[in-house]
Parts: sequence; C-alpha cells; structure tokens
Amino acid sequence: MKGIVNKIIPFSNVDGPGNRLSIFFQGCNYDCLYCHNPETIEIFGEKSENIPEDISVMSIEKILEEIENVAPFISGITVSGGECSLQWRFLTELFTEIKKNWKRLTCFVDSNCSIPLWPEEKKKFIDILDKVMIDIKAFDKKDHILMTGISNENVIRNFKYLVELGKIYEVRTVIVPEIIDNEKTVDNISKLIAEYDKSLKYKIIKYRQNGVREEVLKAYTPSEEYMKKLKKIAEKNGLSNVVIV
Amino acid sequence: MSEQILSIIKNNVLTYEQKLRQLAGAAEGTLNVLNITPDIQEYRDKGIICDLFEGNAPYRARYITPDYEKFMKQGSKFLDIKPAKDIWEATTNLLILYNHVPSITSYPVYLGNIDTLLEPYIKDEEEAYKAIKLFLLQIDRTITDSFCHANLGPHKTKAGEMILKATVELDTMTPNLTLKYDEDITPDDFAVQAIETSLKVAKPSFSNYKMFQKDFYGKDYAIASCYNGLSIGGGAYTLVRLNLAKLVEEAKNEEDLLSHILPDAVNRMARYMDERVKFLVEESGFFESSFLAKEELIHRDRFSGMFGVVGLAECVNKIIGAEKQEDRFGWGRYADDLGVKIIEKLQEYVHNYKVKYCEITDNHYVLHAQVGIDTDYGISPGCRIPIGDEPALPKHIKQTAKFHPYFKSGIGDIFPFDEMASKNPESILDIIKGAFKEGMRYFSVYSTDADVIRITGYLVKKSEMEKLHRNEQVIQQTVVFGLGARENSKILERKIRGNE
Ligand code: SF4
Repeated sequence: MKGIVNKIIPFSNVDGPGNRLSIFFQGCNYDCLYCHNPETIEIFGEKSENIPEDISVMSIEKILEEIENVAPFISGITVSGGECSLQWRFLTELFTEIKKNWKRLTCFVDSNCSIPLWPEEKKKFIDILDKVMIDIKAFDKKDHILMTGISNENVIRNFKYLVELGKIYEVRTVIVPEIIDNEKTVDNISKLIAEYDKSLKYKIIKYRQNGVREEVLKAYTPSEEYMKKLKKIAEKNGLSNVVIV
Repeated sequence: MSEQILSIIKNNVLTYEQKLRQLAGAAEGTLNVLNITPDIQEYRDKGIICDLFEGNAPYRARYITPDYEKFMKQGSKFLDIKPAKDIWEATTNLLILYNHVPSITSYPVYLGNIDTLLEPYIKDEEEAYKAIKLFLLQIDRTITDSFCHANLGPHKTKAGEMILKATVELDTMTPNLTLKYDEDITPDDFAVQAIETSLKVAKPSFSNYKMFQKDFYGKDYAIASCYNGLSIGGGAYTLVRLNLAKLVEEAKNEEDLLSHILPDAVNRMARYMDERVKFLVEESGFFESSFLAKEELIHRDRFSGMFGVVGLAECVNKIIGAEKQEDRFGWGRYADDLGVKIIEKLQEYVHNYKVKYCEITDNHYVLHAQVGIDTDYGISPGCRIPIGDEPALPKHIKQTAKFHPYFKSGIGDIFPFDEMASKNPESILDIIKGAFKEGMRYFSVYSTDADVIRITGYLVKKSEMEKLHRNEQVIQQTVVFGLGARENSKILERKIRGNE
C-alpha cells in the first residue's frame, strides 16, 4: 500500500505538542471557500496517471526513513492534508509501524472528520492514533455546506464519538468575517464542546488571505477585538481553554 | 606610546572604567618578558596564532572559576566576611567576592551556580525574590561585561525559577546564563521556563550535563565566559587560538596540512602558551599573593590552558577548493569528514604535547572552539558552519554534533528562532533533547524579535549597538565587540529557525 503525499515538513512547531514531523497528504473531499492549500484538494490514486511532479507516491518504508532522520528531535508525527483520513488504511499501517519502531512517538491526525470514523472497520485506526485535531467549520448544516460543499452530520457524530474516547486534542474553527453568523457558530460549537469536556482546547483561527484562491473568496482578516468577543462567548459557555490564533 | 595613551584619555566614547582598563593594557604592552622565538613570532605576525589581547605580561589567570560553595560555607578571612545567615547576607557576600575575582577583562567571568548557592536561604518567597532581583540588577550595572557567566541547574530549584523570572523582568545583558541540563534530572517544566526566558533575553543556554560530567571525571564543572567548560576551584591560565582559516595558506594540500603544517603549528602555539603559563605561575606571583588561592577558593593545580581554534569551515573549503554549496563544509560529505579528520589530528597533537602545570587535564592543554573576535572578517567561530551556509536544522545539528565531543573546554552553536516558536517552547526542548543525544555539548537559542541577542557567545542588546553606532557612550564593553561582529561577521543574518 502507498500514500499520496503532498509534502513533509521535518520540524513543525504548529501541529500539536512539541516538535513534530508533519506529513501533508494529498486529496480532500471538501472544497472550502477559504482553503489555504487548494493545490492539495485534487484526489489522485496510487496508479493515477499524470500525478504532478511535486506529489509523491510513498511507501511506508520511505516515510519511516524520513522519520528515522529526525526521530531524536521530535515528540511525534502529525498527519494533515488535504484530508488525510481519506487514506485511513494507509495511516493505520503507518502508525502501527511507527509505534513498533519508536514507542515514545505520538501520532496525531489533523482532520476535517467528515468520513464516518465509528464503523467497526476503522476501530484499529482509532485505537492506534493518539489524538485528533478536529475542524468544526460551521455548526448549522446550511452554513457548513456553504463553507465546504458538504453537510456536517458526520463531523458532529465523529466529534461525539472521539471525545468520549478521549481522543481529541483540540477543536478548531476558522473565522471568516461576513459570510456566516460567526457569533452563533462559536456559541453553538462551544456549547457542544462544553457538554463533553470544558477543558478541551478550542482554537479560533483568524482567517488570512495568503494561499486562498482569490476567485473563490476575497475576505479580510478579523480584528483582534472581534476574536476576543468570540472568545468571550465560548468562555461564557464554560470553556476554559480557548485560544485565538 | 604617549600618543596612544593620550588618545585613550581623550576618547569620549569610552567610559571612565573602559579608559582605565585600556590604560592598564597600554602599560603592560610596554613590557617584553616572554621568550617568544622567531618561529612563534612569525605565526603571530601572520595572525595564525593570536593570544586574544591577553597582554605581554600575564599577571592574573585569564579565566578564574572560584569554588563559591566553599566560600558560602567558610566566608573569607581576607574580606572579613562571615558565612551568610539569610538571603540578604548571601547575596551581599557574593557581590563582595565578585568584586575581587579578576580575569582577563578584570571582571569575574564566572559567578557560580547561583541557584544552588542561594537556594538554602530562600525562606520567605516574596522577600527572596526581591533580594534576587536586586542581586541581578547589581551584577548587570556593576559588572559591565557580558562575558560574566552564571550557572543554573541541573536540578529545579525555587531560586532557579526566581532567577529566570527576574532575568526576564530586568531584560539585562549580564550575567550570561547557562542551564546545566540533563533530561533525567531537569524536569521539563523548568527546562521550558528556561527556553521561554531564552526567547525573550537570549539566555540561558543549555549545556549537556551528562557529557561535561563525563569529561570532568564525574566532577561538577563551571561554564564561564562564553561557554568555556572549566574545573570549579580553578580556571584557565590562558587562551590562545589557532586560526585554521589562515594556517591553510601555508599548506600545499590536505596531506601536507594534516601531517606537517598542523603538527608544526600546534607545537609553535603550545610553546607560546607554555611561555605565558610559565610567567604567570613562576614569576607573576599571582598564585602566591591572591587571597583566593590562600583561602583555597582556587587551586593552582586545577588550572589548565585552553588551546583555541577558529575557522575550520574556511580551512576545509579552501583546501578542497569547494566552490558550490553542495561541496562546502556543512553540506558536502567529503568536506565534513575532512573537518572531523583535522580536529581528530589536532586533538592527537595537542594531547601528545605534555605540559607542566596542567595536572587537572592530564598534563596537556584542552581544546576550545574559539568564538572569534570583533575584527575577524570572513572567519567562522570554532567549527561552526558559516552564516549564510546553514543547512536545515536536523542536518545542521547532526553535522555540528560530530565536533562537540572534542572540545571539553567549550564549543557551541546558536540558533535564532522565529516568533512562532515562542508559542511552542516545548518544540525547542524536543530539539535540544535530540541534539544532546546526538552528541552536542552546548546549545543556544534566541528569538529574532528580542532586543538581547547572542553575538558569538556573549550577549548584546541591539538597541545598545545602535547607540554605539551613533557614537554614544554605552556602559558595556561587549557592545563594542558586538558592533564589530555585526559589521564583519553578518551575525544578524543567521538562518532563522522555525518550521523546516
Ligand atoms: S478541508 Fe482543508 S484541505 Fe480540504 S478543502 Fe477544506 S481547507 Fe482545504
């Protein structure tokens, strides 16, 4: 089995706890208005023709080699995308091998959590991964479809499933001004989180234009005051660890 | 001569103290007491051997690392000081002693493991914090030279935490700080606090406790001046450096360098060091007259001589004619292997040269990766990869770690991080843990946003360099060096680390 990889960053300090090797997998089932890496959206198969040159079809061994080079310097690896969970079979195998070789390295999954993670066939995947960073991009279904092209029933169900297992590292929402009702969104999402775990980290992320396709979305970065207002809403709902990025 | 003296006196950019020290240097410069043979002088004239302005007649050891633990227990007869009973007396006693510890700069280059020294006196935390903050303030404003170095760790202490906190609040250049770090002893939260401190004020640096312990035969050690590993209760008589970037001009090829030029240069430099050590020990009367020796805060037989090296990168690149980056030191396999070979040979030659008066280091001089001087142009410190040629961080660390084991009296690398890293200091701790496992001895971090930055080993404020650049007086002598290095060695152009 092979993984379709867009790029690997050997040292990353923004993808979870400590220093991590980040693997960006190619291919996504969403098409977010504000996608910062639209080049990672297109899905290729292992044997697809005309895979662009900068995308690599990588074996487990090849990725393990990359990890080997930096293993002493990292706390773990984070898989991201695109949407890495689309390649969950490959990830299951990769994580199993990582744990075999380096017991202390943790495996984190940065995901939009749109594919059902609860079915029995994915049990091994969920067991072996350490934590998930989950994007809840909107709460209202219509808003979610507007932002991503797809409804969010699976996302919410996945959230509930994972949080009960203690497998969530953080929840994230990108704040784009003037498209959907952000106050309502943050209010609902934080209520949902608070229902399960008030100390769970909730990251609200300022929209930034860099990388975003101008023909799809042209927006401005929300002000610090606005973000603080949203943070207050989440805190009022009982969350103790709300972070503005 | 008198013209030189008058120009020191009339120089308005110098403070009174800076004038005083330069005048003393000028006086010493009139003497000619060392027996310097023509072959040594030839290499001195060519800048291959350089004594780093130690002067013509050594009358104090270059670096002195007193046994402050002992001083805290016994006080001092000469200074008429009794052992301290509380935090105020403890800090005062230390400040008094610092004033009487000489060195090449005439300021103390080592202040002791100040956290363990003060920890027993911490009773009321609020009061202790006030005392510690004033202690650090006093050091910064009176020891106006950031070669002055205090040590922390490896254990987490209340005093250690307070020192870090006060260091950030004071935002000072002096003292330089090192945390003796051992993953198995130092808890992560204390190490992370140290890194957060470093990202604000460029210190402490991290020293590899396990490695140094092994090199000092299980005994504790002092980190003094820039990053020099020395025996506690001793120090270094002298530090002379061999400029490999210039020595390479004498060699016909690699073989000639390794088998003829290098051993000959080691011999010339070691003989020069012998002369300096001999005068200091046998004639200057330093060890007979200093109360530090009489009260056994220092012991003559715990001193050694530091054999410094600079410019390995330039030496390697020159001798193999490396033009393209992929062939150069830090990138090319051949270049890096040759670098290791040169240092291996160097160590062999230095260790085989037996010397008097260096009992503590097995009767030979010890290797030191010298950080350079402000007037160096295009010469990299010690075994460092030149600024502008730094590879990605994992590769960089593995490359430099090959050299660190050879330099027990000091070597280190400096990595500036971007502001994202300050949001995740644990990521830097991961890197340090890995670096020490790979064999690095000493690791320094600073943030590109901070005012205090690390030049080559010592610290300087960017804002102070600006002042001096505008020809205003600055209190710290080291700012002068920093400005020189800023202009000649591109230190502000170091590769910034973040995600890579
Ligand atoms: S889920 Fe992520 S990768 Fe996929 S389209 Fe949205 S922003 Fe882009």
